[in-house]
Amino acid sequence: MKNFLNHFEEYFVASLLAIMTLITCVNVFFRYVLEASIGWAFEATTFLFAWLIFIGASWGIKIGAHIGVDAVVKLLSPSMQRVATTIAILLCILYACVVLYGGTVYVYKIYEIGIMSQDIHWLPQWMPRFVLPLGYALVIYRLLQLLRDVLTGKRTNFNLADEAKDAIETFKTEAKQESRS
Amino acid sequence: MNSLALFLLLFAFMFLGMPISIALGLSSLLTIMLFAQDSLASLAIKLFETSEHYTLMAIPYFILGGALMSTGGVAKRLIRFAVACVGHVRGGLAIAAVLACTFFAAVSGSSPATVVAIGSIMIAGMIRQGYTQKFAAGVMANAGTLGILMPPSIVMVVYAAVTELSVGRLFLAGILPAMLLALLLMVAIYVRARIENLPAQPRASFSEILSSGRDAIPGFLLLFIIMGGIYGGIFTPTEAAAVAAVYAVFVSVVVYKDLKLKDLPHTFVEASKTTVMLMFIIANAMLFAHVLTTERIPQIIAEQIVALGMEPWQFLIVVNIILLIAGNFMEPTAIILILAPIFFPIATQLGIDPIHLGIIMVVNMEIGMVTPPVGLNLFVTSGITGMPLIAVVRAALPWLSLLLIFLVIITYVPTISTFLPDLLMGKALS
Repeated sequence: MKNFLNHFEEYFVASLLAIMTLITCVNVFFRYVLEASIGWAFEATTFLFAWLIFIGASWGIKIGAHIGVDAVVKLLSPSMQRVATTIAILLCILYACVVLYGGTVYVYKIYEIGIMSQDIHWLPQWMPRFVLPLGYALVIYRLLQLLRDVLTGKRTNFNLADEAKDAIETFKTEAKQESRS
Repeated sequence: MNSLALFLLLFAFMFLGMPISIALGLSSLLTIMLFAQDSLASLAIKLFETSEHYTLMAIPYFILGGALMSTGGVAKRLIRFAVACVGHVRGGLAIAAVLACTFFAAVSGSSPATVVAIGSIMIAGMIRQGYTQKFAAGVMANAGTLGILMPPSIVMVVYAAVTELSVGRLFLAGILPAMLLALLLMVAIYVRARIENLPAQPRASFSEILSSGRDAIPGFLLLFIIMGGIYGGIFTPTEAAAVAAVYAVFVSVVVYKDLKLKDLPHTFVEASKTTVMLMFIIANAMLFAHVLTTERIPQIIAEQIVALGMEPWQFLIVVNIILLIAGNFMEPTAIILILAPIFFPIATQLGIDPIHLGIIMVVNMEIGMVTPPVGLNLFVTSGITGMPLIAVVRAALPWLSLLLIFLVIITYVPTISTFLPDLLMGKALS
């Protein structure tokens, strides 16, 4: 169960991607074979896409999926690296707080006006947009965790992705899966 | 003044080690809060609108399709076919490696993925046949850059989204340049192979060519579905990407049996990871582009350049120099997102075809992949060969000069880029 909770974001985000792909394909099928498009398909995929991006953003911080330039910071001494990283994380938290505030104001306004979605008539517009405050709250949560790790000395730099290593490792696990089969 | 603050903040945040996405977002937010009166809610709307951008939605689907097809099994089949076709020429294995990269680029939209998939098999193979490791690594690092030039290409989708051009046109425009680059690399290898007397493979029998070709067809069909679907008017590029992704599930699980059903969730998680990283950069770059437009920065630069009386060819030199420098430090998608909104209006004023500009930008990004310090292909090549990075840089250098010559050709012979789209889709109106 704990394992499931740990991986919840991962499953959630991957499922969104899978559902988006399916809806888009089924819509093509409907248009050509049954000669009737699904009216809500486009709007539904945009909502799923939004949740994928903004829930994924915090998950990305957790697993170190975001990329950046760490060449300059790495030139510093380890203690200075920690200082630089602390400042970087605090700035990131500032960013997330600003968007969290803006997003909350935006969603609250839409909620007050009470508009419904265009194609999915039963869905109030504020609901899909709620991912903005929710996602950025989660981003702040993950950044605070990162800040704790830096302050307690568990890490000296931002958890940035190593794309080259990732590309090679993804390929290796796939090759392994293949040799197993 | 405002634009100076925007760019200074961006670079300061980036070099502080912040993720590029947040560096873009924060520098834009601060500039707006300091110099403009936009409400914070309207900025949140800008971020959310990324998800409503129909063209951008093709990106997760292309990433997913690429992740499913970037398996050893697909790579092996494409390589077998490439070796059967050209292996008997002098330097045949290296030439086949370039050909295999071209094939692989047609199923994957990523350069490092191309280097890993083809390189991890071909470099070892070439060394066994008596090529030096330096030669093999240099060829692979450079040939892998074809990944973003040959459609499908994620970098092109981003350029199309920013400039509101048709993804289909750009994809078509990439095909001839990609073939030309592959040909240039092959000819160079052949010349060196003649001089250094590199080995040739035994000529493959006709039945081997046929059977390896048949085996590779399901892989090639992916590109056919995408291109055929778009030009046949059957579906939009975004739908084509989604259909291709589902087709890739079918091929990898049912036809090639490279992936087991229970391994599928893992591939979806990996694809989501790349999607999230890229889309979060794009969402924040949308804010950045919003600041650029409200501050009229592209227009101001354009007016100055036109006032200077700069000729199109001079402007293109400037474009290339800026892109080559930027390519040394930043990720291709981010560069396109920041610079395309600036270059695009200037190019339009100077009468440069925006499709041509797009291809020039992509070729520059290719070169950025094989130049230090952030050339991803170099890191990947070093990772799969175990060579030190500096050795890979040196190995890639002679082939890099070829890429630079290629860039000059692409820059000053626009027909190579615009011929196919103009032929198949009619001249652009703009």
